[in-house]
Amino acid sequence: MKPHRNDDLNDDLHGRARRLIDMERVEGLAPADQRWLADHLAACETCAGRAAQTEAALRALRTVSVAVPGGLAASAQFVVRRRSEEMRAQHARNLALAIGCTLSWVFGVASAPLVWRVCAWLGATLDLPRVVWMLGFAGWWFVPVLAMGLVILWQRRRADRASIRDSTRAGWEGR
Amino acid sequence: MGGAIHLYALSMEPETRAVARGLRRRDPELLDSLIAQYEYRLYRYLLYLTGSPDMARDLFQETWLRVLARGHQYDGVTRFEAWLFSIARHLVIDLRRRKQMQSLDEMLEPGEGGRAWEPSAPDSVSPLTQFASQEQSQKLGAAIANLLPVYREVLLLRFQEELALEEIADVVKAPLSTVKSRLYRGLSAARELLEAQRS
Repeated sequence: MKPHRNDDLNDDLHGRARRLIDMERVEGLAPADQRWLADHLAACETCAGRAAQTEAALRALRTVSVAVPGGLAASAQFVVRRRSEEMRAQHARNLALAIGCTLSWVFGVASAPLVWRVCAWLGATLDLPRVVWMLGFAGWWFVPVLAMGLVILWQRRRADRASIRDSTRAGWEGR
Repeated sequence: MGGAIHLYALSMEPETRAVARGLRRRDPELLDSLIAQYEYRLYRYLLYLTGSPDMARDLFQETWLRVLARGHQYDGVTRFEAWLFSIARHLVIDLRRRKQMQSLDEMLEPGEGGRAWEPSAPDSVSPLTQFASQEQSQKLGAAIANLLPVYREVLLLRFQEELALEEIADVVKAPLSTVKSRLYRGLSAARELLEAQRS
């Protein structure tokens, strides 16, 4: 039974050494483990060989280089600059739109009492039912907002389409 | 280790903050310099993930457009490359989803759907050395190309980009334990592949 126990013990030691060899590279070792591993590697040729293999694999990983296609950065810089300009222009348009919306809202609020009276007077003059001239008043409030919303939606869709078209074209030009 | 990472992050802060400020302003000069600075590293990462030079080239451009659009989301505290790689990774996954694939484990095998990845020789001094390096590099590249993309990715991030484990976990959006397990498995697979090639 004794030789078996020795074999198990040796297996445990080599197993621990193998785990520590990888752990040292992946997440680092505590000083005590580092010392134990160094002692073990000095005494065990097989584990030292494994450590050398691991080091060689990592060296190989670090030395592998890839060929970068010519003009890769230049074409990306061009596309990014163009998109950046588009975004800046879009931002300016959105700002103008926001200012327009705000002014329209302020004007709408300020003129609401007057418009209400005008609608009431028109309703009375034309002998319209109350609900009709009230709908007219609501229209005065909501139509500009709806129109602005539609303009924004239309602009966004147009910008999305342009961006898809541009990236497809840039992809083809890159080839 | 966490403390060391924090100290490193603090020492990097002024530079990363300047990058964050520039990205918020969509500074074209900054973007130009970042594109030039990260050209090789981003392309290599995309190539390791996709295994296809054509796909990597297309995604390279898409990644920078995404950086332009979402630059305000970069906090300037983490390393810029970690943020950049996580954007690139999302794009690869989006592309895969569009192609009816669910995860990186289902990546195309190298050579499928486009030109296969051919590693080039590192800069060398003489034609003879260059030839030897090219040959060796091609062999190594072929071995690495045989690794699963999930392993290739973490090996690249850890041993070439030298990111901390926490940063890798952030890039790949996986728990730290998963990252470690992928690294151990990847390292073991790389060792076996290189040994098999040598013998």
